[in-house]
Amino acid sequence: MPSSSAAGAIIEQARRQGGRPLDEPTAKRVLSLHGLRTPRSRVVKPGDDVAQALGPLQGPLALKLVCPDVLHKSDFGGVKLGLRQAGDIQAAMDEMAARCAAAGYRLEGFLLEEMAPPGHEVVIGGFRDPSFGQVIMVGLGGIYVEVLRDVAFRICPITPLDAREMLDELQGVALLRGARGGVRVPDSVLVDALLAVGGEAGLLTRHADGIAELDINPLIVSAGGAVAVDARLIPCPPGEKP
Amino acid sequence: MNTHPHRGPAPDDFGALFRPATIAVAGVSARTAGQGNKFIQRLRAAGYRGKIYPIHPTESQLEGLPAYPSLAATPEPVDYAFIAIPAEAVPPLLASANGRVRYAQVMSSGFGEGGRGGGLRDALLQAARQGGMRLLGPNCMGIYSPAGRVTFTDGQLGEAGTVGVLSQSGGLSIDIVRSGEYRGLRFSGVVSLGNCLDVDPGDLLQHYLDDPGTRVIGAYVEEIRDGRRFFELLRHAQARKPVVLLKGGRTRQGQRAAASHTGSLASNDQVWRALAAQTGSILADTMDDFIDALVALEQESAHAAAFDGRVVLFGNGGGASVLAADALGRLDLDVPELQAGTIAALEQLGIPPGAGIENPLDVPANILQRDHGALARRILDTVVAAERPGVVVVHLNLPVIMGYRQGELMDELVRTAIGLKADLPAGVRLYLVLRSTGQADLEARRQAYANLAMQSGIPVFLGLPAVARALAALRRYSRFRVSRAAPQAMAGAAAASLS
Repeated sequence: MPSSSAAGAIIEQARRQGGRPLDEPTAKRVLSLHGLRTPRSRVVKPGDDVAQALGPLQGPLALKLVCPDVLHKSDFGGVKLGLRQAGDIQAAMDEMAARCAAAGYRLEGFLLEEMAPPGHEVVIGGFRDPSFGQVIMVGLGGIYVEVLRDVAFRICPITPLDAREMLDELQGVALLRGARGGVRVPDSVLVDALLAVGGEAGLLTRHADGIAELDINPLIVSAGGAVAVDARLIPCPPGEKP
Repeated sequence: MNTHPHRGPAPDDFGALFRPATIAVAGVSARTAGQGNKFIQRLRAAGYRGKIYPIHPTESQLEGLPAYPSLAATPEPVDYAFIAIPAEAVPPLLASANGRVRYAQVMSSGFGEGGRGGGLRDALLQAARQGGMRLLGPNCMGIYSPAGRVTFTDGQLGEAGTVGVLSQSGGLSIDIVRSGEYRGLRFSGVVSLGNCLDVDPGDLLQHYLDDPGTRVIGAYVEEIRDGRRFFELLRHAQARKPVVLLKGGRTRQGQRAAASHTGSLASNDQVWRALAAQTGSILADTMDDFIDALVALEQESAHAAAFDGRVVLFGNGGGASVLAADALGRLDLDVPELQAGTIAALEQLGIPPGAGIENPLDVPANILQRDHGALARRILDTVVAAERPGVVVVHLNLPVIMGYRQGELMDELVRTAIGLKADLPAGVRLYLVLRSTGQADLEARRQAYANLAMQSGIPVFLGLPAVARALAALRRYSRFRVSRAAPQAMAGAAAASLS
């Protein structure tokens, strides 16, 4: 069940500790406390027994570096996909650890998680505007957001109708609705996800004074629902008042 | 999150500002023509009927009126104080008002604009609180209120009306009054807000939303400190009155430190477009579009029926009609083909060859002149009755039409439009476009015809692209209201439009 107050406690603690971005497992925990699905996962520390850590996780798995000094994990080689065997996972961890050591970065551990079912990559984000407060954004992932800047914004809190109109505003919305024989995603999947982030009881709305910026990128959406595969949450600097 | 639209205690009643019974004026000179002198002369020219109290530390008589040494020394309390004295003298003047002034408008600048005078800014706000008044400005033109006979413009005061405007630019507030009145807008008020140290855009927005005398609202804004309140007011209002926004600085790059993807994609423009989408406000790109949208929307809150986007175009000029249909089509408006029954009815009218019996209705001037414009009226009546379009645009090209019978044909066609307006069924709107080519003699005639039509309540536009953009604004407004209407209200509106 969503638990906004637990999420608030996490964000407040991060602010008290200097306002640094939440690490990926913590950011995802905040999302899941607001009702967004995140992959089943385990945090593995260097030296942990991988085979034991795997536990009930179903392959294929994604391995991700957890390191406060790396801004873009995939650019750094901190993401490895499609892993199944403990041996392969151990080898990938060793390689990432070596790269961290060479760069002089602090290695905190690894995130091992189930890969999302196939679907469309979507970005949901937010930021705190100094005049209007929290603003939510949605866009299609990959080139649609990065090259074409095909995104829609709304001021929080949004209503279900606002969320649907955000989708209507996207040039690429036909892709989500099954154009070119692609996966058809019911609007309700994204509307629910947008409301979980920016609705009346959403993450951004409830913690309006605590969150400076948010990226959920990608959110993988399919007929089966939406899964937040990566998340970045930057708290407002400590002591800052809106 | 604060979702309550009010800040502080009860919202102010701005009535005393728009219809002041007593006005104090600081900045009146015995020797030179100061801003205060000019203001008093304007009040007199406008026929202001209340009391005027010049404020001066030493003079006892100014502009033929007894002068008083302070705001606390006037015979009666002051509804509105106009202050145009050097910046450093303003705080002590306000601080000594002793609760006897309701609104002080500070025209003077030097309170932190351009990064200078920040200390005086704080002193000014402090003084206004100490004096017990609301502060307008500083660095603003003040109030234009035809009903209250108070003005910041020279020349004749316009008629009072139902358009309420707030502006964060003094210069543009004058432009809005002048070009708005030229286009037939009649104002319930135009307020220049300046630096918004106290009274801010949200305060005026709330006033206009609540004011029964205001039916459409315009705002020129640059920076709104409390954007959240502005947004909440608009959202709460659900576009029950049309609101047209002209936002300066939308393309400016924000100083937002973007550590995220989302932050790097965000811009001021994006946030304002979001606000417009969520509140049904119209976001204009230019001053012309702003005025055009106000002209198009002035009567809209009284219209029960939503505009469904269907437009019938009628006028002379084949190419112009085609381009107009393109302009409308690009903006998501519909110039639908006429139904078979409508065409059959038009064929009964004996329209000579040369006129198209399709939408757009291209009717050359030599056919328009049949029966002194009566054929034009029959065509329009037939199409309106059969099609019930949301909008009829009648466009007349003056340089051509004025060549017929020394301009008599033009007189007849404008009368035809006025007659049509009077007989339109509910839910059909008439917009008139008077096209011309810039020659001075034609411009004078055009303005005379525009005035005639505007006096009959017909919105008049000066070009077809302009009317297309204004109708797009009307369409957005109407669509928002339909989408946000409660189901039972929608059913009621549907029933009303069928009856």
